[in-house]
Amino acid sequence: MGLRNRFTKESDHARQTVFGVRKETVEGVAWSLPYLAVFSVFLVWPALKGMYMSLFDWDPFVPSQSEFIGVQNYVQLLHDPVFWNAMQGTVYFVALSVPLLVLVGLGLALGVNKNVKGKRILRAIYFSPYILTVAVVTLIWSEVYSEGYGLINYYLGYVMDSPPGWLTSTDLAMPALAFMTVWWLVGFNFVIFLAARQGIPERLYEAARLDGASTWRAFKDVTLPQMRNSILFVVIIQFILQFQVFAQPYVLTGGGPRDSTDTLVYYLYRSAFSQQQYGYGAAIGYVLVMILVLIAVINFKVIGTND
Amino acid sequence: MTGDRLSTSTRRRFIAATGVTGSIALAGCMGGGGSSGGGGGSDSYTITFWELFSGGEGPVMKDIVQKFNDEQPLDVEEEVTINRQRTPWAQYYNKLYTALTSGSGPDMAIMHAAYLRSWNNVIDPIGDYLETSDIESDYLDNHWDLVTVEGETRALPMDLHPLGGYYNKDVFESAGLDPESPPTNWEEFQTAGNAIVDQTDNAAFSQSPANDGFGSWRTWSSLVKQQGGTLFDSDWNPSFNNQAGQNTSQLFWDMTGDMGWSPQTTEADWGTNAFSNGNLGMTMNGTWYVASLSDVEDLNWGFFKPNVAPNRSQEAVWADGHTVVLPRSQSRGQRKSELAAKAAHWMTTENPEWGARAGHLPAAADIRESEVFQNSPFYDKTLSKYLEMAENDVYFYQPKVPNGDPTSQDWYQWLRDLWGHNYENPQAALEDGVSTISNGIKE
Repeated sequence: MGLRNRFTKESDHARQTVFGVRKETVEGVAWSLPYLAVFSVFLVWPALKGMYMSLFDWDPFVPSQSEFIGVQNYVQLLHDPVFWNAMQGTVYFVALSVPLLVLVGLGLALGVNKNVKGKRILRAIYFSPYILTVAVVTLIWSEVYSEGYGLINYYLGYVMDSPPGWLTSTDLAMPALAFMTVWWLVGFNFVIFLAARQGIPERLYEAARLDGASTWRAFKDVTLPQMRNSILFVVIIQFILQFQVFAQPYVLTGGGPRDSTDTLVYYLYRSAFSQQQYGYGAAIGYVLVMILVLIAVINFKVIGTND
Repeated sequence: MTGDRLSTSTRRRFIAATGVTGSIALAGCMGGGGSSGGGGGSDSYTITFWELFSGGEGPVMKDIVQKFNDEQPLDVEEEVTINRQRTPWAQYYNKLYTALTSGSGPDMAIMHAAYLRSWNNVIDPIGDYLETSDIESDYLDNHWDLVTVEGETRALPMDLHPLGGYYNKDVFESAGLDPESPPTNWEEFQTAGNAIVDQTDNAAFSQSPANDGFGSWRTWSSLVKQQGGTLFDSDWNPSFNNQAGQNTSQLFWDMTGDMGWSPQTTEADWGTNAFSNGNLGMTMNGTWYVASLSDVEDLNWGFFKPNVAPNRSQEAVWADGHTVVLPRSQSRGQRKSELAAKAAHWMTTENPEWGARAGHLPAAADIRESEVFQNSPFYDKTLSKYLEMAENDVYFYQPKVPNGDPTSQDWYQWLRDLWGHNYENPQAALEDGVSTISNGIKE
């Protein structure tokens, strides 16, 4: 079959119609339907329902009796010191964890990409914490961080009289949660970065070397631009994930000490499920959504993309 | 591998069989509990039951449910099975409430008496399904009062679990104290605590072994009441920023400060570990603690009544009770509800093990007199003393607030942070506590 022939056939296929709609379109929609159905039921519908709930003083037992209060929940949020403290805690956690997650992930990937010994084992080691659930991770780290019986303080006890309470100091608790999170999740970024680095053609580095570029220059002008899309992807994903931090404070610190590890999603959970303020909880959720959309937009603008 | 090569007829039989069992299972899931199949057999019902017991209490409740299912103790035609599901306390009430709002809650549940007012909208009063006047005399008066809110009997009382004082006799001995003479008032308590920190390497006191907010509240509120302080006014505004509240907050602050009775830590379970390891002299915790302590080998512990506040004007000790409720349900149906109410009555009146093994004060009058209860390994050590306090009427109940989650840790974290000196001063903690609980009740 000649090239022209094949081309014509494909065009014919595309031009076929079902009830006046192009067959290609019908097929495309049909293939997407199962996903769209799940997406609609589990994401779009709850999202719309949440938006609706956030405008009410929601009565979970008789929803029809819920009182419409407009944006009152959002106004109340603006005047709620617990909300602002949780916001501050979340931003602090993101500021601690996201840069580390990206930089450590990148560093590990570039390191393993070199011809180091045992690089397969290292790859497995770096990735392995990522497969654990958050419950397991927090359980392990509660033993590591414990003030009186923990692994860290056991060894610190040899060199200092009273080692700090990692989870019981208002200054250290959030950094401790962030560090644990980096240990847990960095493997994912590592894998993405490693794949991206291995996708860069070696000839680019050869050309750079021929032009006398230093290692730093090659990193700056070859590695970074070539990995830009994967870096953008990782940064956005990590912002979205880390802004939703919940289980670490929920399990390890209960938001304490002195509310120093409170976060937006943890406050959302408490408002909705402990204080039974479903509408208020939904409003917190929507504020979070707005922040995440804003961050995604800023990320695209700052890091930019040609694709 | 047998499933790989089924002949057509085998496959048909298999499908027919699963079809039948499937239908039975489906029938079992339906509202009133379905028939167990033809042939004149009586109906069978499955009552779903949620509870929150852990530690030493968990196995006792498991055995009680097992006994019910094995012995079928209800004098009814139907076969009744209790299907028990346990959820840790930290998640229990959130999960229960959420399940009830979506109509997927249990038929019967354990609930602390403290919730019987604020959760009024999720409870079916037990009197809807049995004649409460017939059974009222089965329970002690004060327990019946505990489940009666605004004149309505909302649940059946299971137990009372007050606060008690626990001490390590070996630590007392090494501090030069008489291990058989625990403190009975502030002066003795102070002397004991100071001797422990002066004479030994151990900590003197932990306000709550779990080092949690609600545990701290049990001790703190007891000491406040002993000094004549109040906790709430008649409109449910927190009133504990009073002289007694301020004194007690200062005392907590000093215990981890100048007095050096305990490290300044908010670490969860600090006291649990320290007391079990023999590194802590005294602590305060509820009746349930005995079941955990008796599991610790070589721990030589004793009990004291926690009436040890400075400037005590009265004896007052925190208490709450477990109750059995029938959550509001549209699918349970009248007969199943009646059976669940009977099961709740059986559970609360026919199980002396709940007192004897789990360490609680049973609500049923007969159980207190029963041999099983009085032969409990804890009877002389703790139960008899808890009973004395009951007779002297020293217990006050965890306030049944009109809204919110009265045992939520969020309400009492300020006490844990006060203990850990995470505030500028004790007064700042107290003010934070008033505002937190006040907001919790308003919402």
